[in-house]
Amino acid sequence: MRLGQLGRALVGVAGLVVLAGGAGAQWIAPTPEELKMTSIAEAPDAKAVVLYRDELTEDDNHMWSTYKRIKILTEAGKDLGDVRVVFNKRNDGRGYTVDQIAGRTIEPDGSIVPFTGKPYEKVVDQGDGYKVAYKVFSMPQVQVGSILEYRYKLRWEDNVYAPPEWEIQTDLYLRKGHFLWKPTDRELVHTSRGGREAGTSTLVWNAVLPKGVEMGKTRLPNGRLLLEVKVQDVAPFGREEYMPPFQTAAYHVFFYYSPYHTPQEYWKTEGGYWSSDTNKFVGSSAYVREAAAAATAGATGDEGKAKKLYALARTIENTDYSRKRERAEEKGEGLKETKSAEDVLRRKRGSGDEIAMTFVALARAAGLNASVMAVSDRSFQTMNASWLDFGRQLNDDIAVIAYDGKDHFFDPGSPYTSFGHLSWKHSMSGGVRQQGKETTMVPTPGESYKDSKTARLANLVLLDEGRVSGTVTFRFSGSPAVEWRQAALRNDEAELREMLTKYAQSMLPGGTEVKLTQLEGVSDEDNPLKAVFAVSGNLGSAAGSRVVLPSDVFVEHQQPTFPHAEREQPVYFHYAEMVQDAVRIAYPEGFAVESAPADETVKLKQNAVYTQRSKQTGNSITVWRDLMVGEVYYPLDEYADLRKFYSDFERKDHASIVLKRTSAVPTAKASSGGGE
Amino acid sequence: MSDHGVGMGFELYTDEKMRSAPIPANGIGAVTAMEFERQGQPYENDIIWIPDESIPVATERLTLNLPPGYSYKAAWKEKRSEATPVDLEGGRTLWEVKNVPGRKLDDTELAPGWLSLASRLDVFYYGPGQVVPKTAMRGDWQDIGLWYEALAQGRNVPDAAITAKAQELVQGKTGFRERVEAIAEFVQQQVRYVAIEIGVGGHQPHAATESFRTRSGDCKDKATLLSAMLQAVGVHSTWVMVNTDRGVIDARAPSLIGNHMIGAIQLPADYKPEGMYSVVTTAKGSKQWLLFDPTWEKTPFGQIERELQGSDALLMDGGDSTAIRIPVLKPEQNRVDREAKFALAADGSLSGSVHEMRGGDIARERRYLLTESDLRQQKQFFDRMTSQDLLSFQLTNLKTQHVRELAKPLEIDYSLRAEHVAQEAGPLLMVRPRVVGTDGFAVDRVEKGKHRSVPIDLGETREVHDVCEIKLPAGVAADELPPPVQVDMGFAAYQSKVTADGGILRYERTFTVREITLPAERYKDVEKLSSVIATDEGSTAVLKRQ
Repeated sequence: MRLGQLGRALVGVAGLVVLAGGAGAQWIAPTPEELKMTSIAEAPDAKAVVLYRDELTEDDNHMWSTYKRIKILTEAGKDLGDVRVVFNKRNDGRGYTVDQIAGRTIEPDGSIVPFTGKPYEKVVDQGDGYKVAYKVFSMPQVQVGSILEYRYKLRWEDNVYAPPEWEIQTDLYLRKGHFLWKPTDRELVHTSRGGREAGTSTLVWNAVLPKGVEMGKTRLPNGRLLLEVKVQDVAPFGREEYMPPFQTAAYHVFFYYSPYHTPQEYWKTEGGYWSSDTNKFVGSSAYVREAAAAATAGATGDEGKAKKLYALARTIENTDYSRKRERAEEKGEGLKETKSAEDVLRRKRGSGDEIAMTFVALARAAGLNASVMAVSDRSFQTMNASWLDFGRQLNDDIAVIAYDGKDHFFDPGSPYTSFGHLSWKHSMSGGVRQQGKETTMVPTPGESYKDSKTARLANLVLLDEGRVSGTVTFRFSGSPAVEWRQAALRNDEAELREMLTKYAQSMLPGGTEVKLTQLEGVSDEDNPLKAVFAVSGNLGSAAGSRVVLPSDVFVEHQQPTFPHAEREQPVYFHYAEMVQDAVRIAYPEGFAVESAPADETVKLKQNAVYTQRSKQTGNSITVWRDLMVGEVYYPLDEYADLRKFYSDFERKDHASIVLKRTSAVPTAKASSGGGE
Repeated sequence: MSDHGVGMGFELYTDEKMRSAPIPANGIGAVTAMEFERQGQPYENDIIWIPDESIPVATERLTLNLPPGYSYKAAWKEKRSEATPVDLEGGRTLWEVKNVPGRKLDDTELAPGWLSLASRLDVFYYGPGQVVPKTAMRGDWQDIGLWYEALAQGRNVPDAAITAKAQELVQGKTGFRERVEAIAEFVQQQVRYVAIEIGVGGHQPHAATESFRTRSGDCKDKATLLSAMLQAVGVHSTWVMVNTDRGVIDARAPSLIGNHMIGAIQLPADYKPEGMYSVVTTAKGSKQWLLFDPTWEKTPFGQIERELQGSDALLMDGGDSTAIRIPVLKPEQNRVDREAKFALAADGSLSGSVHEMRGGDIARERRYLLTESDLRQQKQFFDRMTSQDLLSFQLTNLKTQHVRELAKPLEIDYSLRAEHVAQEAGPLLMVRPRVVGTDGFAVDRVEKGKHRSVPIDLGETREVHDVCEIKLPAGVAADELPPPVQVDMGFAAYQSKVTADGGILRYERTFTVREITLPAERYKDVEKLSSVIATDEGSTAVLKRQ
């Protein structure tokens, strides 16, 4: 097919995520070893192993076929007998269907039970012109030891060419896998941002492959190229706590028909399209200029202006956190689609991205050197320059303003992120920013541990042998405060109060009554969010003449952060932070401190530090605990050190205060101040 | 407007769909009006009306408009005084409820299921020309049983293949129990749970022959296959409709609200059941049945899962179909015995072994874990469990016995080494005599001291017995010990004692839960017991270097 002749072929169908492929028409006979297999040494007690997976994409036939052989090893693996294959029928010609489903179950004794059932069509979502559904089928007589074998084909319309996305590493061990793509040699039309079209000239791919595995390239005598990956013994992808985003870590290959010859060319051109569209939205309207002028009246210096404009942007309703208006509703208000910063300002509402662009529009109108930057959301992926998909990688917009000789980053689209800071999801990330008439790929700055602080203060009075009463105060600033405040936005303040109460309860011993008495600064991003609780209940335990109390009530019940000695993934925290505790316990006359925690310091190189110290004054004892974690990413080879650091200080967290009765009859009352 | 497949999540396939539409302008303060019409030709001649919502309801109405010659019978569960029927004449009847408070139980500890507490009106309508299987339900349990049996008629008839397998399973077995158990275990263990529900398939089972051929089926299919296989060896069994939320089915309010099907195996006349704890009688005591759930793969034969205990259910038995109450297990039938032996080193570290035995339904989750997860997940589970009690530890030599033999207690053994268990405090060593094993109730501290508005569900009866011995290092002796604890609340009891003798620090406790449901008024007692247990579990012994 040539452009302008027989019509246009479509490529790069957005949202095609999955799925399947094909194989030869014959089944593979099981080997005696496969029939006898009860486990595999590489993944002991795995519920199943994929003996063979074959995926074939033939673009000229608009077909992607999948063939799988799965050995069931445990009862849990029997669930793999239920198979779901997603498809998407569409009226616009971009959909795909599934057909030629076939399968059989091979029992451990070698007997074969063919799949003769009927695949059912289970609708996921059906609307005007589309139907997303599953073909579901259940393999017969599945038991531990069975080998499940099935195949199916996905088919696209004749004018659609869908390059495959191979998700090689899954949650099952893969003994052997073969992935083959037969791309078309036709010239295709690539449709990118805003419907811009260009003829494709290059095959590109983003690949994360096991060590030693290369992309196989075979040039056939007729000049056609075949791309192929063969893998063996691919371990399951292990999901762990505090692991980097899954999307960027598992083995995969994503292919593209591209009009671009290099990633640099891709990002430059697509970035240019994005920048052009962004500038159209930002615009240069008189209304925005007037708004900027009014907002910056009296402001001095670029930073002063930026602060005023940031405050103005903050007054715009963020519909990502409130609600989006349906078109019908906006139409009812006489409004057209939001197309510009002026629209956002006039309506006083917009999405987070629209607010970011509006902030840039205001800044430019005020004479500042401002630009928009498209960034990755680090909560689920990190920027990868070799993955040529602008829309799927760069999900959010932030703002950059240059003054005083450097770039300053702002996040007006993330509620409660204060001036000059970024939401943690956008910090230490990367993306594409406008730079004059060009765009460049740049990283975003990180936030210091000092920017995210949690301060916890307990002021308690020991009433008798173990019972205490008093107050607990939390102060959150930076990222922890943003998380609580955004939770309030998504719910309401009543919900926030309940969540905070449960948070406090989760730290304090069972049987302690916790009541939120004061909540301040829920909407004041420039000051800490403060929550005060009245607490009472059993905190310590009596043993004869002694009372044993935890040294830090906030961590007494905290479980180990890293209980497992072995780990497969690097450690990744959301943000650097500082947690400071102060616990003061006043005890009654007739008691004396027999033992108090020793002063301690634990360090992890230059990345983290923990200190604990205590002091007795009159009939009270105060314990301070500071934890500062300045680094968010720890490669696997640093895990042992990191775990040791956590284990060491978490052990010290569990030190006790021992009070001993010094008089025969203890008095019930202790002298202590209330408040904080 | 778009359509979506619906289901409870357990079905591989259901043809039920939901149509949804976005609500325009649904801002705070907005009033949304919605109207829709749904047409159907149901196989079930009943309406289940549940006015309760998670948000308050100002007014909700149900109007029943029946054709001439039709009648209805209605019954309320948790009847509201406002909701008496109003005859609107012309075959129309109105029920109206007002000011129903919203109810959210997501964050309420020890709460029954939402549906258990919701008020519900079951209306059965019937009249000439009604298209239902053979018989219309007229609002009593007997009719519902007859209706279901008509729906399932012929589907539990064994064919040659079923008969051959059933006879193979009982070959050489002469006792009633061992014959029945062999077949029950086959259906429980060898028939995979797969739910495919089309049309009336939500109620109607697939033919036993099909379930047997594919070795798969949902709950009612498995109960039907069980019936067919037992029939092949001369044992009668039937279906029992239950709901997996205790208390949803109420004997006083006949309903099709059940969401699960189990089996009832008729015991021979004068048979004395031994080791069978879920036995009920019907037909004025003339018939004796063992309840058995072939879907719950880890609950031993003779018991029924905790979710169903204490619930009402419908036993289908033709004209003798009737509501039954599923028995609650005695605590000793659901027992955990944990025995730990450790040696404390002078540096405060601890090493030793733990032996745990779990018998009855209470072993279910552990059996699932040990059969349906890989070694890594199992290790992570035990690490997480131990980390509730210890900080820095190594759990090794994990061994299990009788994981798949449900009739025998599950045995779990492991070695444990933990650092800094004893905290130094000058010349003292502080150590917690209970090293592992956290039990008790998670009570809702938001509600502490407040009026408890909903009944209490304690989950299951049980008896948990711990013995933990710590050999003290040379030159260290107990200086002060936590006081003994003995509390008996009636519904539950707790006792513990710490002793020191011959260089051994010994902790022993027994926690017994005798009842599973309590009225809301008993919540303060539950809180008190929870606090006693939490305090005891955290209590410290003071050791002194000699």
